[in-house]
Amino acid sequence: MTSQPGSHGSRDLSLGLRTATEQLALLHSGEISSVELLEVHLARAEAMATPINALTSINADAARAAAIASDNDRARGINHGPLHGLSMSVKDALATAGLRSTGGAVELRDHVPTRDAEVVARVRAAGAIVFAKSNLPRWSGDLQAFNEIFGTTNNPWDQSRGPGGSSGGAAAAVATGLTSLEIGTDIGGSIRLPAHFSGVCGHKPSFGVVPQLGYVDHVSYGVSEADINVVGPIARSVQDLELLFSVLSGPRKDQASAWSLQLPIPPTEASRFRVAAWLDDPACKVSSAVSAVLKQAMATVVEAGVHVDPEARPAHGFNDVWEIGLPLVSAATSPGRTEAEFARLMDLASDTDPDRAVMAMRARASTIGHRDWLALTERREHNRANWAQFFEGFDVLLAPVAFVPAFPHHQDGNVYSRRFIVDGNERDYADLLAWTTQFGYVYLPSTVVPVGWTDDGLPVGIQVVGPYLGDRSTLAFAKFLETLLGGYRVPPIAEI
Amino acid sequence: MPSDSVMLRPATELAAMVRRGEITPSELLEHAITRYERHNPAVNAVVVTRIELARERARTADQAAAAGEFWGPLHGVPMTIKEAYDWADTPSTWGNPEWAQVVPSADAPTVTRMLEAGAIIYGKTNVPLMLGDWQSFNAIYGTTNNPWDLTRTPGGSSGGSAASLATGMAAIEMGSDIGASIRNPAHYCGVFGHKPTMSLVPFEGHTTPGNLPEVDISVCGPMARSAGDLDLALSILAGPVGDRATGYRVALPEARQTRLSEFRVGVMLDTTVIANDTKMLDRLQSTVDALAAAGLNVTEAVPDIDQAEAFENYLMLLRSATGAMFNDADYAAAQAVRHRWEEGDHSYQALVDHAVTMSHREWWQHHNRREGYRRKWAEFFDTYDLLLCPTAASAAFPHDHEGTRAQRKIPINGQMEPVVDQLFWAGWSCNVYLPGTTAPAGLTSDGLPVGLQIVAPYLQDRRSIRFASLMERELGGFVPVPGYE
Repeated sequence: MTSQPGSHGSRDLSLGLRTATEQLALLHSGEISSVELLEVHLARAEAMATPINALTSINADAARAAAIASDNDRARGINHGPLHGLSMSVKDALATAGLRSTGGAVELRDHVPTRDAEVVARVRAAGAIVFAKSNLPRWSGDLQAFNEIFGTTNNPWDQSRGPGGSSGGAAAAVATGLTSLEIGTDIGGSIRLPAHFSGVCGHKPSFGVVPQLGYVDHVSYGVSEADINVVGPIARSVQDLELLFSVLSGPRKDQASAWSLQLPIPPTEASRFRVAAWLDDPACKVSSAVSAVLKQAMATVVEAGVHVDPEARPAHGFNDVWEIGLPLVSAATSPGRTEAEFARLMDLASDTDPDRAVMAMRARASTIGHRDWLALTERREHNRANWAQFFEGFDVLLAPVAFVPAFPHHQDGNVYSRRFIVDGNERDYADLLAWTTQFGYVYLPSTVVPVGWTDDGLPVGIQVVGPYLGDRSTLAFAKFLETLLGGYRVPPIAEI
Repeated sequence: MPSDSVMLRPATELAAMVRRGEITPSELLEHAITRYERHNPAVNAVVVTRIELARERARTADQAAAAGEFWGPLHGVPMTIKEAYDWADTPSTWGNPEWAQVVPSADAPTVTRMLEAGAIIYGKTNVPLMLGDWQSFNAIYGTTNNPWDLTRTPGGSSGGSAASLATGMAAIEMGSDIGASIRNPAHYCGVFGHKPTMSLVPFEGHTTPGNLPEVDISVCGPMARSAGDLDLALSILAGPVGDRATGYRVALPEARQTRLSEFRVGVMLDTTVIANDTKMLDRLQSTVDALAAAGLNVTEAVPDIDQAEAFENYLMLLRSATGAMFNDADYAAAQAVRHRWEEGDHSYQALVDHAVTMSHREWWQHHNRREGYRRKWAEFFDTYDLLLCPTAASAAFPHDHEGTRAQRKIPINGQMEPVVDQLFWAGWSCNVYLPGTTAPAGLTSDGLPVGLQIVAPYLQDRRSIRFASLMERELGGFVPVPGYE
């Protein structure tokens, strides 16, 4: 935290830039009230609405009533839980009872759920006040955050660029202090990429440890769960991630009668972890800008006495992400397609033009036969076994989040048709998914923390990946990196 | 030393006898082997044996017991297991001649757990080809017969398991179930079977060669001659393995009911979707009447679900799951005729061809519908503790190895009905991942055993087992097969 206190009228708006843990301490000691914190969030949201456009729907009246009740209960000694009195926004892909939840899709433009997503119910039960929703692409299906209803969210570090996606509004809202915490979702990198592009912390949990019922990824959402998809925290500090993750995780309501979750504690302190690093790969070359930051960060880590093995790899190659990982992600998101979209995908699947190879791969995966899908899940199980074996020798693996930092808004076409020039080479936009999906489709936990800024002043994050259910280890090492390298910084635009 | 009929007692009782020093593990094993030698030629249930290996282990168990050391709650109890489980250095062929040489080198974690609990495994029991029938015959091991009537099926796919239990060759057994494969053999042979809640018992080591993932709907679970044995075996078998075990734990909730009068049950003894045999239904009705007379609160009630649609949904999900095992030639053949279903041919065969070749997106739509049914079941269980229903359409039917399964018919009330119709009662509970216990409910007027299916809410496995235990106490449970006492 390097922010200087600012002021806005009589109210100190810099409160919004402090960590949620610090805000909770101030609430607890009585130095601030829930009402004050909420008013800071609302004032900041208003100030950032035009330059950033991170939030979609705000219910100020209901939030003010909840904040007053929260303060009154605190005064009477009633504790609502670990998030008592924190006002927060939630990605618009999660259903919030009484607060519009669109999934970024025009079909649900006016949809006000009657039931909370299970994670929203959990933060409310822990005392949080959900006052707003954050922007995202249609059905969370892009790595930027724009849609026909709410327009485009801008990157807090450079408004001509995107904040990343799909949880882009969430990351931008956290970076600019519009919320104490955020809840994002991640099927191909949708928590990790915005954290990296916007300079905040994000945790993609091990698959299944956070309930995803109430995830709005198609019109008739809310009945079943999507393969690979997870729900997880986005925040300004790793400690905040740990706090929110502890509230979000645990067996689904209908499983809690028999199943319990007790994630293993890290085997030792983070500075003594056995660390592997996979910081570049010929199959998805990392840009010079990102590479320079990662190299410098690694030098600091090694200087601090951490043993890092830069050669260690799993038994399968990087390319499995193209052959297994991305097809499984496409298959998992295919239910959201309309019949017309599906018919078009069927046509595209047989396209043999090499210029449209990525689109054809994605179309084939989206229209895949169930038997072929089962064959892919079989291959995934073998790769999961490879990773289990890999992590017998290492506590965490460090990897890039994306091969580039935040890129200029790029809204023509779609994820599978776009291209851009990086270091003089033409690259597929879908390459953005490679480093995140590499770990997502095999269900591994991954924490992202900022480790530096490029010469152009854009943030760069790193993935701390661990064994399945090793979430506490990835968080612990991310916290170590945060201490060593500084972590979150306030973007200049947010210093109000 | 008691005669070999001691092997007809429940496994928990045998374990207690060992613990009290009334019998040694070796003596028990010799009784099991005596019965195996006497009865197996007729029923052909136990098709792989490792008798000397078992004798050696039993002797070690004798010494441990003599020293007051007991390996676990099944110390010294002889058992057999379904052939499809990996048991190191024994064949696991699934009755498939192509896999006749498949001999896993490691135990399934479930097998390890039974061994660690002290059981003495001496053999493996027969299955149908690829576990895909309600009979148990194949080209490797031949046909298993029902001990109640050797001309009839013992059920399948865990048919060898049920026949081994019914004849006292094993004290407890491990089966598996994706389409009543634990429950129908229990029903046909007059023993107990429990199909656990989905994903409760590890599936590892019960897969086709080289395969790893869990199969939708499919579960491993215990079979026994008493409800108490099921409860014990489930407590031994349940719980994750591998990387899931680093963070997840299972502790199944206890049933809160301790008397029949504390249960409020829904009863569904018939459906209009398939034809059910009157003699079987009469037997089940008498059982329910007797339980009601003993204080059980009985209501005719069903979950608010279209039963015909639910049946089709199950068959689609079942056949798309098992379709993964189709070889490329069979898959291509199904592809060539998959249009029949779209064109309105709603025969079972047309459904199978469609289900095997459907898109993942269509699978997901069926899955989504299933998730909707699961909510309807949860609502039903807001009012009722359990649902009681049949396990199959009739008691054990005569052997029929002609043609394909889709072509075969069985006699129901004097009419020949498709054998696959019986899958209705299989899928009614397992398609929605619910636990189902099948418990002996007496004999039909023809002298064939009938089992009652007891369906419990998600993860309330111990509730249906508790009910089976109370029913056993009230009405008597397993009865020895005439001629096999």
